[in-house]
Order: sequence, then C-alpha cells, then structure tokens
Amino acid sequence: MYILSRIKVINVAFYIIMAVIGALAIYRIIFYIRISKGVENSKEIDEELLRLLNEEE
Amino acid sequence: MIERKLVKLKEFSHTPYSYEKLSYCLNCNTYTTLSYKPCISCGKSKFISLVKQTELITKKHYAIHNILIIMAFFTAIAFSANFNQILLSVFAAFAVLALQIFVQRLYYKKHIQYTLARVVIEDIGKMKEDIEQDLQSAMKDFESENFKEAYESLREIGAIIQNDFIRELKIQCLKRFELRKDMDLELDTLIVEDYNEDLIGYIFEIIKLNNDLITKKVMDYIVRYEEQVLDERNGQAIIINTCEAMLKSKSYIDIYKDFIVKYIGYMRKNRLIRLCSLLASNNKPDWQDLYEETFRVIKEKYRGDADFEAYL
Repeated sequence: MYILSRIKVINVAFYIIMAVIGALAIYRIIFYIRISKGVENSKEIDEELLRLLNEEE
Repeated sequence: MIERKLVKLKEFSHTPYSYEKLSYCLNCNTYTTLSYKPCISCGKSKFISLVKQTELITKKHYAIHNILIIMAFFTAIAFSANFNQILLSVFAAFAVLALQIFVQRLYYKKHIQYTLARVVIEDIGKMKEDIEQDLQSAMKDFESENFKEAYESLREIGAIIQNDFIRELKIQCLKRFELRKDMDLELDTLIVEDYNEDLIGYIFEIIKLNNDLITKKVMDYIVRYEEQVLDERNGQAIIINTCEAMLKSKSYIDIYKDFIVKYIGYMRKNRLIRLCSLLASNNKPDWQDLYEETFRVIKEKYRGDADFEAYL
C-alpha cells in the first residue's frame, strides 16, 4: 500500500512538472508574440527618449 | 577681440538615432554621452553602448528562460517512475527548448526594441542625472578655458539634450576657433530661439566656408531677425548669401519669395542666372513680384549681357 501510494505521489509530481514545462513554454511564446506586435520602432523610441530627456520638470 | 585658436576637433559621429549616443558604464552603472573619456563617476573606461546593453539584457532573459526549462527537465527526470516517463520528459524538454530558441531567434530584433523602450522608460531619471554630470564636466572645461574639450563634450551632449543653454555655450566655444573648411562644422543645431550676435558672427564665418550649411532652420532665423542682422557689421553679406542659398530649391523660393525680392539687386551674377533659369522654367502666378523685380534688375545692371539675353 505504502509503495503504491509513493508511486502515485511521484507520478502526480512528474505530471505537474510536465505541465509546468508546457505552461512555461506557452507563456514565453505568447510573450514573444505579444511584444513583437506592440513594440515601438527605433524612431518612436528615439522620439520618446528625446521628449522625456528634454521635457521641463 | 577674441583670439581664435587653431584646433583639430575630434571627429563627431553622426548616428541615425540619438539614443545611439548614449553609453553605459559597466563598472559604476552610469549613463554618459562622453564614452571617449574615462567615466566621470568612477574614472574607468568600461563602456558599452546603450544598444549593446539592451542586447545583453535580452540575452540574459533568454538564458534565464532556457535554464528554467532545463531545470524543470532535470526535476522531471528525478520524479520519473519508469523509463517511459524519462523518455517523455526528454522529449517534452527538448521540444519546448527547441521551440523557445526558435521563437527567440525569430523575435530577437523586436525583443531588443522592446527592452530598449523599457530601459528608456525605467531609467530616464538616472539618464537625466548622469547627462547633467556630463554637462557639469563640459562647463568645467569651458570655465577653465579648455574650449576644444568643452565644445567636443557639448556637441555630444547636444545630440541628446536640445536647449539654448547648450547651443549658446557651443557658439561661445566656436567663436574661439579658427574655422576651416575641412572641419566637421554644424550650424542647424546651433540655432537658438532669441537673437544672438555671436551666432550671426558664426553664420558669417560658415557662409565663407560652406554655404550648404544654410538650411531652412537657418533661413527662418535670418528672416525672423532680418533687421537686427542688417545692423551687424557683415549683416548685408549674410542676408545676401542666405538669399542665394534660398535659390537651392523651388520650395524655398515659394516660402521666401517676399524676402528674396528685396535683395535681388545685390545677388551675384551666377546666382541671378540661376534665379532667371528657375523663373523661366516655372511660370507661377504668385511669383509675379519676383519676375518683375528680376526683370528690372537685369535691365538695369546687365543690359546687353549675353548671359541674360535669353531671359529678357
């Protein structure tokens, strides 16, 4: 009984880890795709930097 | 009378984006525009460009994400109860890692842009403070009459911080140099809001060396302060040269035609020929005053001149 329950715990832990790997991968891929769509181009970043650096306090 | 010194200025690199002028000290974590000098804060020269820094941050993120997958993989191996589960974890980890590396490579450039935008927003206060330090160092050079060093620093800072204070300091430095044609001179970036006698003096020097530096911004300035410029010692020469520079394009003539009309009589012959050819090839009703005045000047000054025969 004890050995069986140990195997079950290990099995559950294993599948949880597998799920974590999958979730990590999905999260990162969604993150990369999302930033690639919302990212500003170099000109916009440059204008923003100049605006922030030159604005009066 | 200020004595002008012969100087050899450090080459100024013109970058497409001003953030490329910013560097980051790896030793003391400060930003600077003066990466050619030892760091003002720590005295070391361990600089990397801001773009390089964002690349490093991005690569660090990638490494962390990949290591997380590898760690999860080893944990899965440790918890595997049989050979099938080991195989499953090997397959899953490699598939996820391969997919993540593929996506990272695919979006690498976009991710750098994203990191750069974030660095700009998060570190803007620090950047301001650190550039202020650069400015203080340039002002120290200026006060100790090291005008060459001061100008070189101000030019780098001025690529990012655009205000009249820096422009006026640069003009003050430039009026102490013997200007030469081979120097990488600036003018457009020195135009201040108010009237500045020293700037007018500098414009006169520039006109003698390189008329191509007379851009629209300079033209606007001269037109705005026409009367004050005329009161200066070389005022008329500046006005006429500016008028001649306005003949570079039809769009300038459209904008400044009323200004040009007043000085046609003072233009050099070759420039007047240029104006005639422009007028002859563009029959615009709103250039009527220009036609009439040019015609009058030619008849008065160049009657019988073969170069103008075609236009009379």
